[in-house]
Amino acid sequence: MVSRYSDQVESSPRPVTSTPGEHGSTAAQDDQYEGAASPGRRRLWSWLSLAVRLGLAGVLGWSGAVKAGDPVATETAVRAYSLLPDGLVSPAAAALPWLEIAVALLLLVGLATRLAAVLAAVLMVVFIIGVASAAARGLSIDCGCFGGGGAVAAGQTRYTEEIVRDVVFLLMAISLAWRPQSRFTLDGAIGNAQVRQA
Amino acid sequence: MAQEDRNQRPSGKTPVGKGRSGTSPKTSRVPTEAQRTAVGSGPKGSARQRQSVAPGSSGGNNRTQLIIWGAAIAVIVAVIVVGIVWNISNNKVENAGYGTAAKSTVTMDANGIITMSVGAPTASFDVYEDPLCPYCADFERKYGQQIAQAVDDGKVAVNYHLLNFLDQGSGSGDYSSRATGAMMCAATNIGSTPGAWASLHSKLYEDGVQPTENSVSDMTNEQLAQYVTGAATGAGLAPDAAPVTAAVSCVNSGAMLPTVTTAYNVSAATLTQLVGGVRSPVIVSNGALVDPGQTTWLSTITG
Repeated sequence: MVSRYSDQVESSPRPVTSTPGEHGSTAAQDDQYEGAASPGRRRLWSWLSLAVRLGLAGVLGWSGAVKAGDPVATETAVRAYSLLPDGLVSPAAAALPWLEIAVALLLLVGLATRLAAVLAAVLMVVFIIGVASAAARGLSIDCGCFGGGGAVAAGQTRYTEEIVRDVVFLLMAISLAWRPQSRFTLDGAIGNAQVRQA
Repeated sequence: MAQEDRNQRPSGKTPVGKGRSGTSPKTSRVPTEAQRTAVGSGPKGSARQRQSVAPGSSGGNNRTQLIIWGAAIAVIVAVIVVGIVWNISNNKVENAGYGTAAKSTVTMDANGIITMSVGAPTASFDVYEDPLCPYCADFERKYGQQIAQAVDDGKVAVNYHLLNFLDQGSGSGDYSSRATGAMMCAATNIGSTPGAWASLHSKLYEDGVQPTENSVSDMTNEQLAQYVTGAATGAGLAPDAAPVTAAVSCVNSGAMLPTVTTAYNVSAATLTQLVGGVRSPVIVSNGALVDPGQTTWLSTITG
């Protein structure tokens, strides 16, 4: 029952989210529209989207849990970036792991998926800026992305690898924000419950 | 989010998979706009427009969005609040308000191990720490006052093994060595004055006093010497008393630096056996590793 309703709620008559506005006027756009709306592709996307969602949830949950488990290391890592004024380092280091965990939880259950995906993207942008600025300023630090962090020997930075990894996560988050519909979401379940009530 | 809202609204009514034609995008969108006006604005939408909305459908979707957003924001706030409260309770200072071990005296052996005690307690434990290490400061902040009372009550002796392996993380490149040297200078010169060394030790780990790892600045020898003098006078010595001036010139000349190296080598050998390498803080009792994450670790040792 749920899955049938779920299909209905999730299916959109056109890819509204991509470009709200002009639609259906040119042949090219029509083709695009037809393609995107084909049930097969939509189903494929909903599974892909599920994989992206769970993948991001795993990454954020893991990194948040490691950071939350070691507050002193997290504070050291945040301080090592030398980006925040001294008074803000502690609060930021205290809240960051839990924000990651919260976003991971939302993604895991598919609640407010787009909001969660946007927050995940914002986090990734912040991380990328942080690492890139550390590289640009010639700091020798570990990103502390998955715990740890702080200074490392001059030859041991891995900025390129860290940035590439974060960019991949950022693209995943953006794709999910663009089309948040996927399999097994609370969003869908709540929507269906509302539809049934109505 | 408004886009998602629009995205979902027509879907409940549009038959999917049939009747799709080239014109459907346009035609299916017309009622959508009407719905939006009707739902979104009170006075503008006429009764007839409202009726054109499938009963409950749009309202349901608005409500769905409200529920979803409300729940999501509640989850975020709850997780962050619970997490921070959990952090704070984990970081609770034990025996807050006691202060430093005012009755304690210290002695130092040839390997630079500094023993803090009152009388001759039967129980003891060992602390391996680096003056620059933030975890050591955290340990001192959380348990320092509890340890102080146990020492003052004559229940336990503490053997401090000071390390300098974090030198490279300090602005000067040798802060750990110089601070360790300063504590050794104080131990040998003013260690017999009750409370003097204990207050210097806890002072150097204090928030705002301990230099930050990986920052450009730390303390000069003169600043270290000032803390030594401050600890001495706080314990009742005159700033120009012979032991105090001796300690200060010891700090300034770096006279203890060879002992710092000796102490490190001895500690490194022990730590490598115990934990596979040099790290800090490491707490050891009767040759066994102690987990300071267990808040009862000290009472287990003192019995």
